[in-house]
Formats: sequence, structure tokens, C-alpha cells
Amino acid sequence: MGDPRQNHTFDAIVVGSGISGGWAAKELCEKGFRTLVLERGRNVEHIRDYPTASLNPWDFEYRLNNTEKEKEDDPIRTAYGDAASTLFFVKDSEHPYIQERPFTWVRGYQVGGRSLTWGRQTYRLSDLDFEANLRDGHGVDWPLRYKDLAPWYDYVENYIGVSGQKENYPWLPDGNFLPPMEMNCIEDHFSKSIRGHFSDRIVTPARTTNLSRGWNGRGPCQYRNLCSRGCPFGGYFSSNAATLPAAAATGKLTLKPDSIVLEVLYDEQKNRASGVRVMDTHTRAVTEYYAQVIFLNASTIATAALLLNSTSRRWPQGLGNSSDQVGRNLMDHFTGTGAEAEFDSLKDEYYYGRKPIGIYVPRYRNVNPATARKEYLRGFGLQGKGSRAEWRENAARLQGFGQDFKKQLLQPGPWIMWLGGWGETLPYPDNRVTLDSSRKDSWGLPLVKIDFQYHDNEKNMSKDILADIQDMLSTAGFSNIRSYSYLQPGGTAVHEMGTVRMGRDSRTSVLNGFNQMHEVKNVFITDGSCMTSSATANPSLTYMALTARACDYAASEMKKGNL
Amino acid sequence: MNRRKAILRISLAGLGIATAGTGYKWWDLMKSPDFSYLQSSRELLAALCETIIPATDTPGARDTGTQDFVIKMIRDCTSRKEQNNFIHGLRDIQSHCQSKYGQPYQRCSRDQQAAALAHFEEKGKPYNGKLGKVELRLMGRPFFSILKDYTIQGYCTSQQGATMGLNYVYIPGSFKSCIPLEPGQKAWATS
Repeated sequence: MGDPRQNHTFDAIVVGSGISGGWAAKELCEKGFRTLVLERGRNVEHIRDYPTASLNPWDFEYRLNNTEKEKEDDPIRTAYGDAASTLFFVKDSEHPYIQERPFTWVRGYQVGGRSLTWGRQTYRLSDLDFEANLRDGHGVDWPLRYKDLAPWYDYVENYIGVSGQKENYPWLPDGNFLPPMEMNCIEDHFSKSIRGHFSDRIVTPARTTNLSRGWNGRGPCQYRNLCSRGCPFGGYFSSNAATLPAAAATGKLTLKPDSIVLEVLYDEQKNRASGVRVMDTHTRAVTEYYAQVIFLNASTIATAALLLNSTSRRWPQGLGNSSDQVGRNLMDHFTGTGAEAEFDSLKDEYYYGRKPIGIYVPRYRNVNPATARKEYLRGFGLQGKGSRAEWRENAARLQGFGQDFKKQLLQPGPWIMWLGGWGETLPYPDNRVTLDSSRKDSWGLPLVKIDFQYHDNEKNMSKDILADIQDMLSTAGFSNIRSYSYLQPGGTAVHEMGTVRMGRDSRTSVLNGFNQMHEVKNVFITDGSCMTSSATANPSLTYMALTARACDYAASEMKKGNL
Repeated sequence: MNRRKAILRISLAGLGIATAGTGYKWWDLMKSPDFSYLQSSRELLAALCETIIPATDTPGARDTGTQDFVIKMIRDCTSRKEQNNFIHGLRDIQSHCQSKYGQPYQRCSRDQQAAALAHFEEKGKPYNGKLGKVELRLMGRPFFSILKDYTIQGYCTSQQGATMGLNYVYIPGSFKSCIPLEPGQKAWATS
């Protein structure tokens, strides 16, 4: 037993067990640090806690539909999860927040967080992204460049396994890939056609952590395409399948689920964070834990809220927030523009297996003077997927009923290709997370208030996305192009980033180039909140690489006695 | 003019201001649905589902118990408006068959059933263009669309429908990107 303070003292504390928290846990434990991982949600153990993973459609009472009652009570949860995967999304009704303007905050409070349900696509950023803020003056300059992160992208990819195809395309750096998940006939046709007609564009198989062959004791992917139920084959990367077991294997990990971090404790004399105050979600008992170094990986909005709630005499505006940048510059990718079209050929071709990804068109706008657009800054990537119309699509296409209808319904219909834009959002200071202390959640924490809107740059870009998608589909010989374009609420892409940005100057940013707080040196923040700009590519790989790099730096600083 | 179009016209004319008349019609949509009628229409529903997906060399909707899935969906996974549209539709098609063929739908001949359902498919078609979109938003989907949607879902996600009507592979294990489509090959049951 002994001194309770000693029992509650670790070398390192990690807040959050999602995609970046899992990496922090693994890296810190493997470096020999006794590490406490605090997760506000329940425990989810790999395989054991995937109860829906192996069920058939007919095993569900409503065949994967959510009920009206569920949709009414929990609109976001039921929009992102079907009856097989809602278990990994929080109930809106239990976790309220304030939307100054509509904002979709998708959360997965459990061990593993949203690494269980993520889109699994992994792309490197390039210097086109890292130099973007400096070039056009929006936001502050990233305090690092591609060469700083490249070895860490290598390091992370070598561990997680990424299926992909090398392209030698300047603005989408290649990585260390497992074989790509091949394009099907229509995707291959689209790729060849686009490469043939547009000298500035490529279409490549989506780069994904779905494993095209076994890797590090996991996978390979079984092509069931039921990923967001949790994969009993470990066919894609999640904290649960990979980093947390690796951390546990060192014997250095203490994982505490059901533990909400209320605030980061600050020791004014030593000018450092001393630990965290934690509430048990069930008993409401409050405990303190202490450590030499603290990693915050609670996710973009929650991490900002945690800092804002960590007030003291020294930090009335929230821990390490002299710059007043904590909570600001919230970004997402906007995804409300796209189209679906049919292809009237290749009718004798089909495929076997359910591929969990499609194709990717990396950014090609505003990449050099020749591709510059007057109407907007930065650019977008396109994601797409081709398949034959199967019963769901056929049901929407086919009139009538009866014998002939049935025959057509149950046969493969025409090839269908869907294409949608993922647009870069600029960092706007007024797109912001704050706390409303007049309203509290069930655990007595002030409610998070989100105020977010898109501006002209995004609106103008979405017009170009729409025009390009229509142009590319019709150039590639598609017909019956049904397009859509509307600015969805922020958060819809579930790529929320910013709020605790990295930068070179403590007056205009919160974190330095190693994700270390400028003003509280033993706190590191490596979830999406650290992002200085949003770029166009799916961001999780970058969070993981930044996390591994920050852990390496923190360890060397600890050894030098600087922390 | 059918009930659906009448309510739409009145709603659009009144711009949402409920006079006594429109209030009454609106109530038709928003009232608490008659679930006991739904529950007692199981045989009718089985016949309707079977008209949409009849047994051929593969099972039909009745074999797969799709009527029970439709009832579940109407009760628990359908908006109030569409619940009422659907239950009104059941009554309407029944009285249509009574007056035209002198017997309930489930006892009509296949041809009579097909003619009756075709009549309701036609009647439920929304106006063209923008007005049609307003109609759908304001009124919910019509009887036939709901019936067809749930019948297809129920059939294609049932064990027999998925494994005999379609081609269900529980664990594919591998991916083949381009393979020849055999004549008459069934589509994959899940995507």
C-alpha cells in the first residue's frame, strides 16, 4: 500500500485511447515508461467485445435499420452507425453539446475510440500542405516540413501496414506499401480514362490500413466489408487490435476505462503539469494521478475543452492558453459535393469479395502556377468507388413488380461509379470551441459549445469540385450523372482538427514543432487538435506519425532531465 | 383526386395555416396510426409482398416471411406520416378490390392483384419536378413506395432471400477484381 500519492504516480499519463492515444501508449511503454492510459468510455477488448462482427443481416431484428425512436433520441449516432455498429458511437442524448450553428460531433467513447470505426484511409501530407499557411497567409506556419515527418510516416506505416500503390506523384508522397487493393473493372476503366485525358491527374487505389496480406500478426483482410463492427481478423489497424496490446505486452501499461479526465493539474512552483484529476463515470469518485509527462489524445474538440477547463490562478483562460488560441481554428473537410453515374458497358464483368475501399484522386488544383484557380485557395482530393448495381441500387432504378422485376432485381445491374470531394478548410479563428459553464453534463463538466461555419473559399471550391466531378465522369464515358452539392454542417467528415495548433511562436500558437505546449513543457498534444492546417487528405496517419515523433522527443528530453 | 394529392393541395394552398378543413385532412397524416388494422392485415400483406416478389425457381416474399418484417418496419422504423400513408393504403387497396372484384386482395387472381397494385403504383407517383420533392417532404412516401421498399429489403436480407434469391458469401476471404459474369448469375447479397 504505502503512500497513496506514490500508488497514483506514473512516468507518463495518456488521456484517450483512440488512434493517437494508442500510439502514445505503445511508444511510451516500449521506451520503458510506466504509462497510465485514461479512457472515458468502457473497455473494448479486441475480438471479445465485437459482438456484432460475425452476424448475418437476418440476425438483426430490423435487419440493420435503426428504429424511429433511436433516430429521434440519437440522430448523430444513428446517422453514422447502423444496428451493427451503433455500439461504437455515443448516444447523443447522454452526451449533449451546444451547436451555435449546426455541427456534427461524432464520438466513440470507448477503449480504442474511433479507431474502431474510422475510414482507414491513410495518406501522407506533403510540403504543398506544410507550406500552405506560410504561402497564402491564412493561419500560422507549420513548425515542421515533410522531411521532418517522413521518417515517422515510414515508422508508422511499417507497423500498421498500408495497402497502396506507388505513384511518384509529387503532392502525395509514396509510402512503404503492402500490395494495393486492386481496382475493379470500372475503377480501372475510370483510372485509365482519367490518366489518358487529364495530364495533371491520377486515379490510384485508395491507400488503406485494410491489410492486403497478413502483417505484424494481424489480418489479412477477409473482404467482408464489415469493418466498423470491429474486425475479428484484425484486418485493419485499430488501437484495440494493435497498439494497445503492444503496450500491454511491455508490462508497463495501466489502462483505466470509465475514467473521465476533468482537468490537468498545474504546479505553479515548478511551472509544469503535475497530473490529472479523474472521475469514475459510474461511481463519480474523483481521483488524482501524477506523472512526469502528460500526453493529451482525447480528440480535437475534447482536448480543447479539457485545456479550457484546466484553469488556475496562473491560467485563467485555460492551461497554456496565453495565446488565446485554444479552441480556435477548428477545421473539417467538407464533403457534401459529389455525383453518381452509370456506365453502359463491361456488362460481362463482375468481381468477387467485398472490397472495403475504392479509389483516390489526390489534389491537382493550385499545386503550381499552371493549375492555379482565381476563385479559391488550396484544393481538394476526390474519393470514389465503383460497383455493379446490386439489389439496393436496383430497387431504386427499377419500376414495377412481379416476376420480371424480381429477375432484374436479383441480377447485377449496370456499373455505378460514385465520386465525392474532400475539400480543405481554412483555419478561421472564429470557428471555435468554448465552454458554457452555465450548463453542465451528467458529470458536472461545463457543456462544450461549438461555433463553426464555412466561408467563401470553401463555397467557391465546392463549385469547382462539382464541375470537375461531372467533367471527369462524362469524359470517362459515364451517363445518367446525378450530382449533389450542399455545404453540410461542420464535422460531417469526422475529420475535425485544429483548436490547439502547432506553430513557431508562443504568442500565436499553443504547441511547438514537437507537439509540446509552448508554455507547459511536460504536456504534449498529438491528436487532431494539433493540426495547423487541414490539408486535403485523411488525417489519421499524420496524427500517428506526429505522436510517434513526439514520444521520441519527450523520451529524449526526459533522459536529458529537461522535463 | 386521391387523399394524398388532396392533402397536398390543401396544405400548399393554405401555406400551412390550418383551417378546419385542412386540419381534418392533416390529421389523417398525423393521427396515431391504426396498428391493430396493420396487425390484422398479415394475410393481405403476405399477398402484397408476394405480388412484388413472387416465388419462381427461387423463394418468394411469402416464403421468407417478409410480411412480418414489413409489419415490424412500419411499427418501429417508419415516420408517423408514412405509417398513416401505409395503413390507409392497406385499407384503400382492400376496398378497391372489394368494389372492383368483389373480394379481398388476397383472394383475387394473380392478374387482378397485379392490376390492383399497378393502379396504386400509378396513383402514388409524385408530381414531376420540384413539386414532387415538396410533396415527398410534406407527405412522406406513398403506400406503394413504402411497400416495395420494405418488401425488397425484407426479402434480400432474409436468410432464404440472401442465400437462394441472391448470392451470399459469409466470409469471402479474398478479392478478385475482375471476373467474368456467368449467364444468369445472381448478384451478391451484401456489398
